[in-house]
Amino acid sequence: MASVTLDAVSVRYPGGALGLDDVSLDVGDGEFLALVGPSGSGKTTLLRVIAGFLTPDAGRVVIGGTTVAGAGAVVPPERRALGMVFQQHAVWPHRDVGRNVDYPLRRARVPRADRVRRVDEALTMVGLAGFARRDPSTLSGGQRQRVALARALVSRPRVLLLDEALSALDEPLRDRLRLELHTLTRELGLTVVHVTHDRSEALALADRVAVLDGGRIAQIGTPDEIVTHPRSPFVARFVSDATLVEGVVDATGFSADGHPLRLHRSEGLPPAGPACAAVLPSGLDVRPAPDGAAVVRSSLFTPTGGDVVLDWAGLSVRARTAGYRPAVGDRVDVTVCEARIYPSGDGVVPTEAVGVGG
Amino acid sequence: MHRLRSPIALVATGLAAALLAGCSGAPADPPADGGTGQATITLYTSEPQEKADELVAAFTESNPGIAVEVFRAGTGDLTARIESERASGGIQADVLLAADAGTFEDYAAEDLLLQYTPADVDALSPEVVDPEGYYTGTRIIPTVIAYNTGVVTDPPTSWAALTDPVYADRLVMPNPDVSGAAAYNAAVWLGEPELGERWMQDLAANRPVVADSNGPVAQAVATGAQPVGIVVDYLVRELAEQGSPIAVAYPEEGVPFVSQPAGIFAGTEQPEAAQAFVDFLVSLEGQRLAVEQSYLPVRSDAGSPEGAPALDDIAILSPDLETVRANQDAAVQTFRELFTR
Amino acid sequence: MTASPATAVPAARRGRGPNGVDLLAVALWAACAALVLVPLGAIIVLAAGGSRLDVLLGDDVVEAGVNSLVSAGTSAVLAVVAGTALAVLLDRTDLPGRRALRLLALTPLLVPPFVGAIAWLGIAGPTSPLNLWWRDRFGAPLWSVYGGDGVVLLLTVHSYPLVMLIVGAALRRVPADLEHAARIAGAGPVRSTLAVTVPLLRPALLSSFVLVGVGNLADFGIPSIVGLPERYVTLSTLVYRYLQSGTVDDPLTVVATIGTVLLALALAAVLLDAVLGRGADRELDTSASPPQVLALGRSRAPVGLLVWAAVTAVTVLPLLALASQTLLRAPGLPLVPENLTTDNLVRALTSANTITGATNSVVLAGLAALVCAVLGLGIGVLVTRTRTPGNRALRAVALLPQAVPGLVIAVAWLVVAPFVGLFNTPWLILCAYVTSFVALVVQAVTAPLAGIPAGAEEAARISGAGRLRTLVDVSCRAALPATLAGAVIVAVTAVRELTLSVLLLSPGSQTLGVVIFNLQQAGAFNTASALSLVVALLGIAVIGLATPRADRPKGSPWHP
Repeated sequence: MASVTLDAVSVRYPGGALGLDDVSLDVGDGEFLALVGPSGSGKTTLLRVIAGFLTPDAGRVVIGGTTVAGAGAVVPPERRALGMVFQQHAVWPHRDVGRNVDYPLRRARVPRADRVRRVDEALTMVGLAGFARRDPSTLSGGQRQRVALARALVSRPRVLLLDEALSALDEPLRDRLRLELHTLTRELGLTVVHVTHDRSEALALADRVAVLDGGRIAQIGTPDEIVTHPRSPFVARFVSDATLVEGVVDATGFSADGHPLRLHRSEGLPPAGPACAAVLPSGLDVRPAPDGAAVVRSSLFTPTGGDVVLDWAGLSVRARTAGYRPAVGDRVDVTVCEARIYPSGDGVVPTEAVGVGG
Repeated sequence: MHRLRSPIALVATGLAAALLAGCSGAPADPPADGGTGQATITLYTSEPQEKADELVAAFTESNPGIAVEVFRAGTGDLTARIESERASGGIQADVLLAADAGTFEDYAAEDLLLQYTPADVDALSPEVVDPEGYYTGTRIIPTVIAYNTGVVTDPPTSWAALTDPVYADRLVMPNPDVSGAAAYNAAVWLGEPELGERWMQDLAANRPVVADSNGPVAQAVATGAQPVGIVVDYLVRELAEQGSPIAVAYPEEGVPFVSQPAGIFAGTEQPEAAQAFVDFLVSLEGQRLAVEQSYLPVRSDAGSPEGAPALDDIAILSPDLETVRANQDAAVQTFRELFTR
Repeated sequence: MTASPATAVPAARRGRGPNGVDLLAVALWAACAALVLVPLGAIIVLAAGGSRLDVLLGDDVVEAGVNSLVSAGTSAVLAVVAGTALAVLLDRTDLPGRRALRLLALTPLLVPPFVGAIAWLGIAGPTSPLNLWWRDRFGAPLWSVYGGDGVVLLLTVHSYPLVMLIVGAALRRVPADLEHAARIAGAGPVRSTLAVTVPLLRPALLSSFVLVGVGNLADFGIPSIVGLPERYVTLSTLVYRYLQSGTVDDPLTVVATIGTVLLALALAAVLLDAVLGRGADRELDTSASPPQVLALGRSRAPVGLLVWAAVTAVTVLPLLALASQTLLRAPGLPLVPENLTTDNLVRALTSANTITGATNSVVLAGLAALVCAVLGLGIGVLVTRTRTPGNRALRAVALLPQAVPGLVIAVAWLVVAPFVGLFNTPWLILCAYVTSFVALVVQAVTAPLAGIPAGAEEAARISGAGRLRTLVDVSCRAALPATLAGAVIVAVTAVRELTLSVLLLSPGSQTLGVVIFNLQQAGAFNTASALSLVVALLGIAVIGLATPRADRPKGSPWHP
């Protein structure tokens, strides 16, 4: 097992697009880190930098105390002693299961007897004992992903990289494999870097979650920190589907631009000036009212009530209702119980504010 | 002269040997001839492929130590090839068996041929033997008029008759660019006072089909595509024998003939083998084979092919060889201008 | 082959020496340079240095050039029309007996063109049974295959199946959903075909036109067998005559000049295709729904009858004609039982000449397939699976000969031969085969290689394999079936090839094609027919059995 450290890593793609912008990151020995972010945010780029498929233009990558990229060193992927599972499983169709799993051991010139034993162990570990002679094309998608996992684990890698490893699977198989993956990696105490676009998966599995945006890390923290204390409107919207409202902060509180939303002054409100309010779906109280200010535009079923989109004086707002599900076209009253207000511009610590809509 | 003897055959043998070895697990047998004393000569010839194959088979039977590799093409194509080989690396052939004496005279003049008089020279008709010994004729091949007996009931009996407009679009003849016999004929016709360029122009007015070589001419006549053709006689005999509706008319002006001479190239690395081949061509055995192949022989003791007239019974056009040779290129050129434009 | 590794490889990167992939790239570039760039460059140099432009304006060359362009252009247009019509009829309508008809319609592809020409002489030669009967009745033959119209017809017959395959494949790539969308939007079946499918087929039509046109520009067998008897001379037969009979001075320079012009023409056609086809090559989603079958309704029977009759006429009749010529004892005899014999067949199959020719062809084709497979797979892997500098150029160079008429390639090798010591050896033919056919393997492997997910290679890298090792273990291995298929295509194409081997002929290297051609030229029509029949039937049998599902899209092994 080993830790992974990225130190001020930048990647620029040919053509000028910025892949990673001055990213620093520490993954502790045995830690499970999830990378989330919208497409193009750089999460896969970051993983490929760790794997060695991309060489950073600036900065340093250290795995287990060895510099593998930067400062004049370039260690190619095959010498980094990593394991990796890909979205499309990447099980080689021309080799049987055993010879797929066996491959990293062959490359490491492990003696034959050892190889057979370790392949059996790896296959048993992923629940495929006795599958060594099978042709991959006879396996189901979930079984193939287990083969890929066995192949990634068989050589006892320093770090396990998962690139959307569960994304190609259908629910509920995905859910089951997610559980197994978690159990397995925790039992082995593996250092894992897991890229996913599935927010709930990231929050469910990881010790820490890094949210990426535009090649930078927008926030890194425990799942609880990310959900309860998003550091920016972006994180709030990306992780929790918050509605963002532009406005200004003055002596009385926050007023939205061109919208009746007002939030009263409270502790820690940013200094006067332009600001952005992030209203979490859970921070809204929606009640049926024949002359309410908002109209229901869509209403989806959830086990606890409705997941609704409201047209609130021209603003499209995502909200949850508890215990009942309004019909499309219904008028409702909206009360903002809780919102987070961020000064416009980067880098300022966000502030919590509580207010009532008017 | 460099040699790269059929490397394909070598590869093939090698592969086969490897396969055999692989199957039996034992080394392949050594070559049947023991691998010693084997000579290979290359023969360039305008003989039809099957005849050349038979000839070579008969020769190798009586000379087991000598292998003959045959390259067959029309005489014109052969001379062009020899020309380009001279320009780039040397003539590949050891023996040339083709066409007309004129070609050989030219090569002799350029010192390309070995002087050799075959063993049996006294038995041969003197007119086919080069007095200087550079080449020896091997068969008498007259060019005649052939006609389809199913279509033509009143065959033309003279060269002059072919210019009659009734034969417009019904004639076929070989291309002197390709066929040595045709080139020779063109020169002979042009040299005959009764025929000459005037006759050729009239013939051209009948728009004869010009086939590349004699083979297709005989076929065209046999099938009736063009029911009258100018063609070497043995092809007509052969087809008639197989049952085709074709017959020969000997033109009263006389027929030109070529003697299909054989000569040995001076650059040969296997002069003995080449000489043995030439000896075989004019030997009694070789000439009997020629007769079997429907050729008129160059020695009187070999008999004559079935259905062929005795040589004495037909009028022969045999002008002075030097004159013909001097005019041949110009004649071919004239022909090309008249017929193939 | 010389290369200067000192300049081509960035020397000793980070002190570890050039890596395997760079060395592979250098080796492949050297091979491509030796096999493609040097010969083609040589004819341009010879043509430019010889200043025989006067020859180009000579009557012979102008006439042959016009004949070549007209016959190739007309036959390509006709082939595209016929091929497209058949593809649409067979893929999108309820024509009776489509499966059988499809196999039948493809057979001309499996018969070498010169064999087809020999066969057609039996149908529409001046003394074919049909023409003789007509002549007896009406005084003149109905129609003779000899001449320009015959050349165009035969070129068309031998190229429409290729169009049919290309257009058919394109047709199947057009998702049925697109047509369904037009139907839902209110268009009738015919209108939706015209408005949606046909415009999407344009790139396929254009490139099949260019492919067929360039191929027909260089065909030798057809114009020499059915064109020459009527003095319909094309550039390939003219070049052959120039080279074989020395009817011009300095034939090689003259021929190189003609070759350069042809090369320029062919490249112009390809560029035109690229320019016109650009933007039209839209990405299409795959569709699961089966295509809409167009019901022919009341015209089903008459259209079916017509198509069956036409396809049978151009596929089965020639083979029957070959068979009758083969079995006939002597030319000019009526086709009655007592005139039939198998002597021709026996003679054709047992003659030493045939055996030599067949051996030569098999060995040369086998070696060509082997070399093309190795080279084509290497190039395919390098250009699709690595980002080595110059990849696009390498791919272009390897595919270039496909657009170059075989005639030009043959002449190019004739020019180069004396300098590399290959003059008058069979290896010259092998070189020309490899030049001409390596593109077949490159194309065969490109799609499967491109379909390999990046993860498959990255998994190997992570597992500890170096770059070259990964390419060998994963990419090459995955493309092996396609490589084998490509090699088989090379072998069958080469074994029946005539244009290259007739021009590069040397003593001891007669190929099967040349043997048949020579028999035909020497007037041994029955023997030539016998051998042709065997070659045609073997070709149909071998390809038919080897690739029973060749025209069906196969699922990628990565996402079954």
